[in-house]
Amino acid sequence: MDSTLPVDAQKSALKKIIDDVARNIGINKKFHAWMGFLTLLLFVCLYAYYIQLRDGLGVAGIRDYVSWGMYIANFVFFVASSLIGMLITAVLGLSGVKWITPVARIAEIIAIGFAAVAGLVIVSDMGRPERLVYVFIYGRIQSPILWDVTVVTTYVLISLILLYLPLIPDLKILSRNPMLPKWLQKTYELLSINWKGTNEQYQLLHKAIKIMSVLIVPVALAIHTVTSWLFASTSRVGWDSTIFGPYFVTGAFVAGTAFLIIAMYFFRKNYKLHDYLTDFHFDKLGKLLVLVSLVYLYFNINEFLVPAYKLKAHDAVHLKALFSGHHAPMFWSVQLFGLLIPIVLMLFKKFRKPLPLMLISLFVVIGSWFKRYLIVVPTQEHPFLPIQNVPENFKLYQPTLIETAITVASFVLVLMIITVLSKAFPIITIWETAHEKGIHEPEKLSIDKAE
Amino acid sequence: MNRINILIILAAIFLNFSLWAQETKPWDIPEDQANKTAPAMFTPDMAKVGKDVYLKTCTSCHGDPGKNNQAKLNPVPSDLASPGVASQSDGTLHYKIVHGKGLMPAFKNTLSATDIWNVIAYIRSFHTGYVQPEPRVIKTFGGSSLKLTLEFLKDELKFKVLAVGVKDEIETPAEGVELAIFTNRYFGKLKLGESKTTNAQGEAFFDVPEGLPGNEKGELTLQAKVVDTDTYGDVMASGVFAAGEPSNKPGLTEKRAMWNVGSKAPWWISLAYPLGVLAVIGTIGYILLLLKKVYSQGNDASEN
Ligand code: HEC
Repeated sequence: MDSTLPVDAQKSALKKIIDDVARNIGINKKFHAWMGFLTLLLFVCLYAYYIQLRDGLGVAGIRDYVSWGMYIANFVFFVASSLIGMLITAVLGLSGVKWITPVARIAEIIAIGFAAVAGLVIVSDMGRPERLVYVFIYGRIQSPILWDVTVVTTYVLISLILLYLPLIPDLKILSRNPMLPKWLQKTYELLSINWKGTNEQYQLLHKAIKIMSVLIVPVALAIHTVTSWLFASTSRVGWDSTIFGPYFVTGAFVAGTAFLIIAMYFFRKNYKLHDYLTDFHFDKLGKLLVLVSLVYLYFNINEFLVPAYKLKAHDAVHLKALFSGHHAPMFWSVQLFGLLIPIVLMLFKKFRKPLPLMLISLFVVIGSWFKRYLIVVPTQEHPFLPIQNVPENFKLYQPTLIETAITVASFVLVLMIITVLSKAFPIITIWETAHEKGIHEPEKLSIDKAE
Repeated sequence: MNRINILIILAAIFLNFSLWAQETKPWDIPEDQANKTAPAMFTPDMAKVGKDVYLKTCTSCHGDPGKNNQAKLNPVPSDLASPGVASQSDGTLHYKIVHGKGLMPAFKNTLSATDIWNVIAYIRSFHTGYVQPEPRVIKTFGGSSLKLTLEFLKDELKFKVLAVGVKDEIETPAEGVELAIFTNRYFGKLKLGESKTTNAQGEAFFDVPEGLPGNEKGELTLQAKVVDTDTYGDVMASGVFAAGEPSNKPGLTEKRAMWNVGSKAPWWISLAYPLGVLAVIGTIGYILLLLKKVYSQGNDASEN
């Protein structure tokens, strides 16, 4: 990185960056096809939701005993995946890790997508969604549910701000780019709030980003800790645990990092960003995934070994169902294919290349989803008082097709948000990349070029 | 017909097939049970309550009395208005309903003693020419029904229960009736000591246990009950007596607590939550301020 690049060289280097990034903004055929597919899928799934609204929650497999099923498991997964924004921008960003520059915005977009839809997922678990406001009107300040609503909303807001702040210089840079339609140029100009790239403006911006990066750490920890408290503040087997907060947070880092790797892989391929999202970045993220997975593995051992050693009467029933009962196939698959084998594989450099790493991450993400299911559902099948005189489908939870479709809808929404955001804004930060390449004042250079 | 009835029928039909080969055994009713009489004379009121019970629990199999529309079981349950049933004694019907046989369920745990007699009163209302034999209570105590009164003898620290048979407003002491007393607790009732049998004066005395926690005035809610409800029905008397220890513990929902309503949350949480939210909103406000500065900086820069 030569800081004394001649101006002409700077200009051409900058032009390449801008062209590479701007090429992906706006609507093209691929976007139409992909969004068309998503919309179609969404409508099919929304029909399932219509049936649930019309006939009530009975169309889902949840019953009196297992009243939190796939919806809540999915909610936990969404909150978990959204934590990646905080991990990358705040934890790594504040500690001065340089390689996050091209991935930070992708992480932030993923965070917004998952956190925003997480709230909707909760609504899908409500039989009377029109009573949602009652949470605010009649909510008790002592209830983790109220805290959860508060922190999830706050997190969405802070993530939006953290997406917007570093966008400001880029919006200015692109606001005169002839590759973009006129209306988009105008919108960018408006959103770039008079950005000129002066030293004072940079100072203010850096300050704002720093404050927000600090603020997001406790808020992000809070959203997942509070989500874990929804479970841990009850005394039920499998939930009554003091390490549920950190257990959830590390699990979240696993799911989020894996999802980020998958997203990176697809952006790199479809948006032709091989020069920015390089093998080096995949290698680094692979190592990060190994690290967080190892921590999570440690928590898993803690979470199961300690109760299994004591084997208190009710714990025994629960653990037996997980270890050798009817949840065992899922339990061991998740631990093996979603955690253990990925960790071992990723220790080898050749598995941290983009394609193998993406495939491994796919397993990790799927494992993470089922892991949430295993946290939420089996506990409710093992209450302290015996289950007596109830229909058979009260005893064992069996998700229905409608429930599954509604859950698919939430994924479709996340993908839609990620797609739209990644099409509306530059997915790679231009000014930071430029600064790193020794291009000073990219704002001025890009405007020069346009004039 | 509600869902439970359908379930009962389905269960019955299923059982029916499995019992097809079995021949039905005749009823085996002990003599003393057959001779048993109702605790009191049947009244239209009893029959009315009995009708509700019947519609809820019996119609699904026995059909409507007199309509001959019973469920097709094996054996087909009798129409309870039929002469064959009318000719049976009250004690016989009572025994059959209480104990059941084959497909006829035993109702001893699902219906109260009073309700079983109410249903019989209802069934009897279809039997023309039925004359109810005198209730046994009348024979023993010269009353048409049993009445209890409950009293607290403060000086002796005892509860006195007086049992009398009543007939035509004349009361005679009822001897040999087994009684028990209970006090209300958080969940259900607590039996105090052993049950006792009334003496020749119709009285039974119960000791007041020491240190029984009452309300803040030391009051206890007491109930005296007849033990043999089959014979006498659910006869009881109740009252509130200052026989316990005053307990001045604050109610569970009086002080600020985690489990209380929102307005009685622990003070630290009522403080921490809004402060946390304010801190975040404040910080975001500060960021907006910085952005405003960025904006005006841009104006300055373009003027230069
Ligand atoms: C599940 C169906 C079913 C229900 C419900 C049912 N019964 Fe019966 N009941 C029967 C059958 C079957 C018999 C005949 C039993 C036998 O003879 O083996 C019977 C017999 C009787 C008899 C004796 C009839 C006779 O001819 O001697 C009486 C009395 C009777 N039931 C009363 C009742 C009352 C009162 C109820 C409601 C509280 C009731 N039953 C509810 C099925 C039922």
